[in-house]
Amino acid sequence: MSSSQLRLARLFLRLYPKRFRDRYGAEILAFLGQELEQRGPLARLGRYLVSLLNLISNALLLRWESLPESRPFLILMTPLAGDLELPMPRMLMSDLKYALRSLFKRPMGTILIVVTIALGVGINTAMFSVVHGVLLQPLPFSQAERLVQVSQTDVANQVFYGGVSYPDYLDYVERQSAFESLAAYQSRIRTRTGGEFPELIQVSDVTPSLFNTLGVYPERGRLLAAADAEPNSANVGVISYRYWQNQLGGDASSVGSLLTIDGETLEIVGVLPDGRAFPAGSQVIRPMRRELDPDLRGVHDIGVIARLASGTSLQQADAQIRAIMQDLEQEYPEHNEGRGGVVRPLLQNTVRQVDDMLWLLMGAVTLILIITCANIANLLAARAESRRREIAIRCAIGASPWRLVKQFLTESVVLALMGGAVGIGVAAVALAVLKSIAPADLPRMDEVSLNGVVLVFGFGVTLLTGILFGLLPSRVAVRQQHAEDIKDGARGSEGAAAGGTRRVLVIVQIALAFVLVSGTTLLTRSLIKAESMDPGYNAEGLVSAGISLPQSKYPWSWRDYPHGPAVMPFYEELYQALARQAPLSQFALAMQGPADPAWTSQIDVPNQGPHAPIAQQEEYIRLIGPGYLPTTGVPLLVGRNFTAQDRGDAPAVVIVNESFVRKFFGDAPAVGETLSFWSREREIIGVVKDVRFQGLDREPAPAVYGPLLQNPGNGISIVARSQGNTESALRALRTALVEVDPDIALRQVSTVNDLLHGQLSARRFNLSLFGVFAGLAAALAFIGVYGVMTYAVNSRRFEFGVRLSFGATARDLLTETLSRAAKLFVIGLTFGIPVSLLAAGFLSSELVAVGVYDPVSYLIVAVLMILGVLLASLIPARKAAASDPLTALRAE
Amino acid sequence: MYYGAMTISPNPSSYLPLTEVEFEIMLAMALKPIHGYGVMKDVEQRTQGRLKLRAGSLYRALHRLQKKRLVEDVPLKQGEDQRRRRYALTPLGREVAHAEAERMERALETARACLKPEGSR
Repeated sequence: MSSSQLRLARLFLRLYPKRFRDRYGAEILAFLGQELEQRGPLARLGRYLVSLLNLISNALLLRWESLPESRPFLILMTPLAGDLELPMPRMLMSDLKYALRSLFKRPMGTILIVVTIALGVGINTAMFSVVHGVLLQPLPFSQAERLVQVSQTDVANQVFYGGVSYPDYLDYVERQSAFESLAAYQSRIRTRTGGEFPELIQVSDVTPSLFNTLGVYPERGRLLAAADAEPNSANVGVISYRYWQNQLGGDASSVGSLLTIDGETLEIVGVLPDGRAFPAGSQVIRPMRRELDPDLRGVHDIGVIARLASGTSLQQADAQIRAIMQDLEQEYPEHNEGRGGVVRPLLQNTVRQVDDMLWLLMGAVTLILIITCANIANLLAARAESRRREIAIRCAIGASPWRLVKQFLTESVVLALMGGAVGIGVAAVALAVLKSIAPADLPRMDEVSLNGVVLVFGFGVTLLTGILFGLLPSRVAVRQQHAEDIKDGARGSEGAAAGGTRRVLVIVQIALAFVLVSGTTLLTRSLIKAESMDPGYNAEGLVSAGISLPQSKYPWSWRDYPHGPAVMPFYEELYQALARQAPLSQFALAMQGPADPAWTSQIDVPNQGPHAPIAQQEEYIRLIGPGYLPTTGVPLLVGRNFTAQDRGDAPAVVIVNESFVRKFFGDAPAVGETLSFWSREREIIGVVKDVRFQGLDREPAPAVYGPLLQNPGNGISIVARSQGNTESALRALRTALVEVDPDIALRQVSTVNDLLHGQLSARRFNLSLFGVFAGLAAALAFIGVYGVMTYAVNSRRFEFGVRLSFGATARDLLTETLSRAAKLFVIGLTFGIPVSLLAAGFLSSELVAVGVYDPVSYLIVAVLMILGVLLASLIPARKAAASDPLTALRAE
Repeated sequence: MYYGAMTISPNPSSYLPLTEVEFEIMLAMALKPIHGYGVMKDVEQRTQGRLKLRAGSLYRALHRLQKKRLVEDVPLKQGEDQRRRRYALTPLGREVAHAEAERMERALETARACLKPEGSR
């Protein structure tokens, strides 16, 4: 045992009667020492703590064994004490009534404690319920822990969660033995027509094995069968529960009715149970009908999930897939070179983008729990102080000290119970609020519900704190001389010790609150910087909209490349229609809108400068029409823009951005160089400025721009500006589209500014949560300061009286009290700053243009908090200044 | 305590039933005197880890047993320090332990008889 452990154990030994101590004390310490000997450090600590608890509870039991009355709280102690020797205790109603009466004699204090407990427990429970529902709870499929995602990787190009191509998937099915079943899926937003307006709908095409793999049974009707994927079978689909309820009214006749999607009609054959739509958000699920096309082995457009066969481990499956990918690399080098495979648990894959942030938030609320406990301890200690006289009198007239201990314990438990009950309510409300403000792309939020385990945990922690600190008044009861305490204005060594404890608690609170507030400040400054970041183009007054061309009407496939016999006429007509719209001053077509992330593709850059690392890279590709650069206001730095002549079989050209040039050519000029992708060599004809198309908070990446007319597809975006306001521009877009084809719906119709704003919504959500936590922490800390300063002022009343009578001014006392508070703050700061810096390290991935050691942020926080601390101490300070010397002196 | 009480030997069955912890501790010292830590180890082993006596519970129970004069401590030899003190059953304690074992046996017999299933298997 270390010497501090020894000292602590000795301290708790003093709970025992003296005779017991003398007799067994040394032995017990030796026992503890031996117990801890043969263990590893972690087990040692655990054993030590359990032994301490056991020591404490047995001490209390031993004491109570000598009491003649009944012992209601043994039932609490006996599990810890390991022995149920005494007859079953029963709760005495009078104990309870007495406790309630004494608690409500000081209503403010009681309410404050109950509210503090409720906040700490409630917010903790709500946050953990989110963490549990999103990150820890298994997916809602049978034996979900055996579900995995099979992804491809391309380490050289930083691809780790890559999609799979259909031919590769078929090879997986044929060559694998680790899985009970596999399934492939692809999800797209399409248009449903036939209703009043065309409606956007999320449609997933899946192999019929999906439902088997997941273990899903239909709510109504049937699910997809292998026969449904046959090329000439009838068009069928199943719908999600939510779609059935919301869009079809939960009508029983939905099964058997028809849906028209992208011009193709299918029959609804079944409804999925609630929450079982996969991929998440799917509204309609159709059978995937594809043939094996060997040329498309390089198109990684599907996702693959699987269920592990019984007896197979994740590692075995992973190894098998890796081996298969190695074989495929040998067999099809032009498509699969450098591509590997990986198998991960499906849950992990689904939540990988949010787990860091959620754990961070969990850390924040844990800090709040600690601060809450400190506050409770403080409040209880304050209460103990104020009752000191009462207790001392009772002891002096013969009350048994252990009876009082029992009473204090009852009060603490009652307080904890009340706080816990209110805490459940707080948790429910907080959770409802969280669910309503969560960003739409936070996965699994609808599976989140109140978690009983955490409620019990949080409650248990506060109960423990309550009990430990609720027993503080008993220190008074135990002492032999009560005369000192009965005297007015008493302050003995006990007072100083208790005051010291409270000061320490407040310092801890200040430090932790500082951590939270500084974290929030860093995040806030990041958000502000991100929002004001220059996107690289002129987003003011710019609007955009997206279009998906239905396959049935505008068939397009990679085979048509670089032509698009069905889609090109659409482009032409749309272009004409847009030109006819008077409000539009500028417009252009592109494959992706300015706020859409781009695709990546393998690019070969044969003649690179000395700085380029590898020949073949996966880079971003953006396809734009000739009017795009002028409309969006992206400056062309060198060379020329695309023209209407750059189409079809004309010489293939591209424009690259600055980052691309830097990466591949260094300082050498890029114009005139060639690169190739999609089996075509292309000449670089221009260089543009970098654009933040992945979001304002991300650094711009190298990108290649190709002419839309040379690389058509069936999903495009329109960007436009109007002479009037953005409303007129958006209306013009809709009008133009209706003129060309009224059956197509626009999606993501919005001003570009709104889109950019929306990209930051997750960040904003996190910030608002942090803000709430930080605010709570700071408020608790300030309350703590208030409590400590009040106590300090009260206990020094005599001293103030003396000084006033010797000529000190009220102002002197005021400044002195305030400076004491400031001193507390500074001490709290010296602990808080290093911890903040440490914690900020965890935040670094979330920070934008704001360093972890950003001095401005910390300065702001320090100033804010010192103001709060001073404000909180103002009332007690003024009371100190207002001390009347005569009353103060007379009290002695 | 009366002087007279010192010479009258109390009835062992008046100490029954023993608590599980008490009984196990007494069993630990049935064969020979044993110190605190040894009691703990012995009980843990004998109950296959089910009963783990920690310092507080152990010594509170020992204290109780000593007060009831069922256990006594073996006088320390020369040079031995207090921390290695050992405990042994008093003659009364031995009788009480036997009585408890008998009581448990009778209880087991009664229980088996009462709980026999209806009809034969």
